[in-house]
Amino acid sequence: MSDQPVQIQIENLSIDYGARDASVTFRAVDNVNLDVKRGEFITVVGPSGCGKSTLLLALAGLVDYTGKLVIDGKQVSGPGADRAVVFQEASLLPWRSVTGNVAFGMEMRRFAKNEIPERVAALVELVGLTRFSDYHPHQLSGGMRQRVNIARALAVNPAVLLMDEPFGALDAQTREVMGAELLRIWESDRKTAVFVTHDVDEAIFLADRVVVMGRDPGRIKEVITVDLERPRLSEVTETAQFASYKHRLKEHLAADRAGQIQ
Amino acid sequence: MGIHTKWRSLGFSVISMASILVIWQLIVTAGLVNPFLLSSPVTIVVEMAALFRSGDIVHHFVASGVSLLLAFTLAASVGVLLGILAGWYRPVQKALDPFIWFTYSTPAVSFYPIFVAWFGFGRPTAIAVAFVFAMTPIYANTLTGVKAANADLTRMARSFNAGPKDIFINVVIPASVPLIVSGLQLGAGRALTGVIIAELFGSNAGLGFAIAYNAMNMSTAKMMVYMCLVVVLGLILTQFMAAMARHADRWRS
Amino acid sequence: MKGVKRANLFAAGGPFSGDWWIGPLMVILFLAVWEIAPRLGLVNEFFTSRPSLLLQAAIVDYGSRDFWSDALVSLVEFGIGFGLALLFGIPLGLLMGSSRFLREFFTTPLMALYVTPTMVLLPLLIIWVGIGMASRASVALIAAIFPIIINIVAGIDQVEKRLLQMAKVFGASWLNILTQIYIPATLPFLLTGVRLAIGRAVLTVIAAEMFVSQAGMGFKITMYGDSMRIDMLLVYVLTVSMFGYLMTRLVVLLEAKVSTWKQIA
Repeated sequence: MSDQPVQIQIENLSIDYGARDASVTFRAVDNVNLDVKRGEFITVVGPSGCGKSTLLLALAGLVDYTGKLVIDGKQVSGPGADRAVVFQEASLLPWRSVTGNVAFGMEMRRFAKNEIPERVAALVELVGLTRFSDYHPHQLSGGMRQRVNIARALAVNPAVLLMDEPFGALDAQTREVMGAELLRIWESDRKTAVFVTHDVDEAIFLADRVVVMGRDPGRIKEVITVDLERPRLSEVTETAQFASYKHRLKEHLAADRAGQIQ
Repeated sequence: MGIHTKWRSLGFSVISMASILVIWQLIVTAGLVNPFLLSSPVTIVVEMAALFRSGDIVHHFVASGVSLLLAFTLAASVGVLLGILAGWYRPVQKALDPFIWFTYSTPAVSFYPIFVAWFGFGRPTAIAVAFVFAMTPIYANTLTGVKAANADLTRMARSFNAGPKDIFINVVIPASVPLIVSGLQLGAGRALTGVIIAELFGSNAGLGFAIAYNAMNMSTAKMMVYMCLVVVLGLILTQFMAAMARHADRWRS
Repeated sequence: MKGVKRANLFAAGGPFSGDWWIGPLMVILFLAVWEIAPRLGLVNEFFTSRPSLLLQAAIVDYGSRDFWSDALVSLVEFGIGFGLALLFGIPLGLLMGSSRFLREFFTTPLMALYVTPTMVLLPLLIIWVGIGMASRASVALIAAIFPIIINIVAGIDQVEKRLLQMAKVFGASWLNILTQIYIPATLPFLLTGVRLAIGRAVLTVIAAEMFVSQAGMGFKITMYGDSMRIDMLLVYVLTVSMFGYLMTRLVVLLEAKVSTWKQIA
């Protein structure tokens, strides 16, 4: 990993909420600094209200910020062709089938019309939904919808994949399965990924590095390097090393709950 | 709805309509009601056959049907178009608001004399009254549908660099189809009412005209034939619109 | 990015901020065009009248006894028709809603009549009860009763089974269930039905009066239409419009009040 160049540079990044001429603004994210190398899988963990989703939205170009946020040498100023977002709500168009939905991102980003069907088929296969290509969202389970969501994001070939608690609405078992699935899909390409979650196990299992955020104000408390072998097998969650990472993360969360400032 | 329940409710419909017709027939045959006041179902059917052979029914049915079609098409096009514009551009909505609630509060019939003064008795007036009456719910429903664009879907589309036009075509319009369709259903019923009422007041052809004409001539049976035909036309219209609604709703479970 | 601050009526906080003024502006423009176009000879005043003429006519007419006697006739017909629709419609609706058999049996004829323009029945009613107020009130009654019944049935339909189970567990009698569960739960739907009923009743009363011209607002509308007095015609049309609007507003307010506690539940 250390031989890869830095792809995302975040320096003194702050995000404020509040009307432009209002007197009271709320600082959602305060003075964040982080470098992400190309091909890294970063997870962002923290209690609710710590600004992790807001940070992701800034990376996506959907929210204003102050400070430096540079991806591949370009300052982020809006949604771009180099990034794609996987939201917690699958946000699938109910009137399109699986293939129609996977194609949507490419249509919006003006991919060549003759290229689209092939890419769609390839990605639908990658996420394991070829059998369900003509199904509509209401006929799919939550996990399946998120796979479509992921396929759509990968279809536009982003340099950076941004994911905001994509498995948050799924039950615990599905979440485990999806986590393993995501890594399998990710292994084929190893795109740079930033994955927000509140689930500590998920955060460690998926990541090369875990960014721990705290609240009041939203800021980075620690960045923990996860030194586990890839590809990650589900048994790794039972190792002592995994447990020690988990312990550290839980300490942070407990400190947040107790209201202490670390 | 399972097949079983479907047959069951169909059975009930048939039985209830049949019983009502039987009781109705008995009341008149038994002399409980003066046949001048209420014709028996049998009389109506006989009269209907005669009028059908003479071509009168076809003539009036088609006359009303054509007016209905024209009025509804006009109301649907204008209503949906304005609704979309108003839903997408707030100033348009604000500009149209006072005029819309005026047409909502005013009984459409009261425009009838104005339209007669402008267009005379006949089809144009019937279409004008029906248009005003039908356009309002079509506009209102379309407006609501367009405005209720799902925030999640819009944000998702934005993350893929979709511009306002993309979002409008790919997210807002398809999502508003159910509401537009229910607005059209309401509008269709109102268009029928508008046409019939206008014909009732004064026209030269159509089911409403036939009812009024036969009422004036005290031909109860003939009048009731046409009244039943209006009911039939209403049912056909409702079923047709419902079928269209189901078709548009295909992707829902 | 901050620009130079200038006294801007349209800025946030100023009197013209937002877009509330667009509607009234359009109305003013419309009235202006309506007033000026005939004067300029663009349209024939005979066919369109002018707002100033309307105002004059209204002032004169509202002062005359004639206006109020016709208004009273219409009001009485509306009141009787609508009132009876409530009186009969609510119990009928509750009855149909709670009895599955009745509902299934009467749904078809009810729906068939609901989609039929009620005015169609007027000639028949006239043959039965003559051309007086009775026929008009009864056709208004028929027009108004359907949305009330249908909406009450729909309201009862959506009462959660769980509430009923809960009540039965606590030993509630049929009457208890009716008063403590069905009626409160159905109230929002009833109000929607009432709102629809008002519109239909007003429309039908006016239409009936126009059809058999004898007395009432509709009669006046036809009369002035026949004699091409568009100004007086419009005065009456607008008066009816305002009445309908006020009544509907009242019900909308009631609906809003009722729906707040519905959401808390």
